[in-house]
Amino acid sequence: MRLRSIIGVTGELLVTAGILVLLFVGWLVGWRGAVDSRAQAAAVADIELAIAGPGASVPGTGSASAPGPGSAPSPDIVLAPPSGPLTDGQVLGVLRIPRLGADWAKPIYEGVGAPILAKGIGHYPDTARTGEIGNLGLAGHRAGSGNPLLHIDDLVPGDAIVVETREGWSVYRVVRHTIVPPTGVQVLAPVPERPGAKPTEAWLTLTSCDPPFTAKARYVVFARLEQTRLRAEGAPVAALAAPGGR
Amino acid sequence: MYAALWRRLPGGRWARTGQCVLLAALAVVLLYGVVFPWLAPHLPIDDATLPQPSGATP
Repeated sequence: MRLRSIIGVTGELLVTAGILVLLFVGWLVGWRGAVDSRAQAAAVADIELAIAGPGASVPGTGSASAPGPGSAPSPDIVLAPPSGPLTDGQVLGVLRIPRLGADWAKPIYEGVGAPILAKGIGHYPDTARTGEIGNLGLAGHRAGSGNPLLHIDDLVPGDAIVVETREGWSVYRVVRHTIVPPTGVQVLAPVPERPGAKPTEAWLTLTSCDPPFTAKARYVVFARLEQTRLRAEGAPVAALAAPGGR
Repeated sequence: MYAALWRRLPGGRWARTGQCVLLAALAVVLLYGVVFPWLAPHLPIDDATLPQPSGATP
């Protein structure tokens, strides 16, 4: 009788623990994801307003992130200077990956600390700037903080990764991906995975975690610069169109 | 454990069921509002970054 009740209580505790874990995942991805996603969409609208000026509309952004007439950019949007040293938290621009959704747009901030990645995509300090020869290193969460890169493993070679800055747009095309241990800094080298080599091309390296919900490894996507368009030339509409009707 | 809780609650079957639902709802509110936000930064989940090339580890 005693043994039976011990087994019974143990079973109930295990079921309770399982329910707690499920609740936590639901909170992290569902609740926190929705709250942070909304904040990041608002930040994107503010950044659009700050870099493009009032009344500007960008194809592919959808009406949800288009700034309303007469609204002013939020004071906590501090645009990064076009060149020179950057400080953590400065806004570099907006990242768009049509494969992840036609209206998928995330703010890019300087720095990759936890408070910055909670707000969107982070730029590794001392990696290349947008469109530059070298390697533009970006990081984003896969689960939590709006789950920006939850579906990073959907990206296939040829997919567009578009970085919008105050100057214009840089369109990168996915070349390949890899999974590295948390120490795999070589993926951020100016020539990805070839530390010490002299860069002749502009690359983008996007890092997130793998598998989701863990810190075991890093999922890394490499993309090469295809074209850069100045603001006056207009948005790269074709690259911003969602592939495969997702 | 849960059987003991059920026995201790007052009222009939439906009153007890209602109280259980309320207790569960309270637990979820506490977890979502207090426990999980405190817990999340302490867990080794979803580290998306690599040590920076300059050597500083985020």
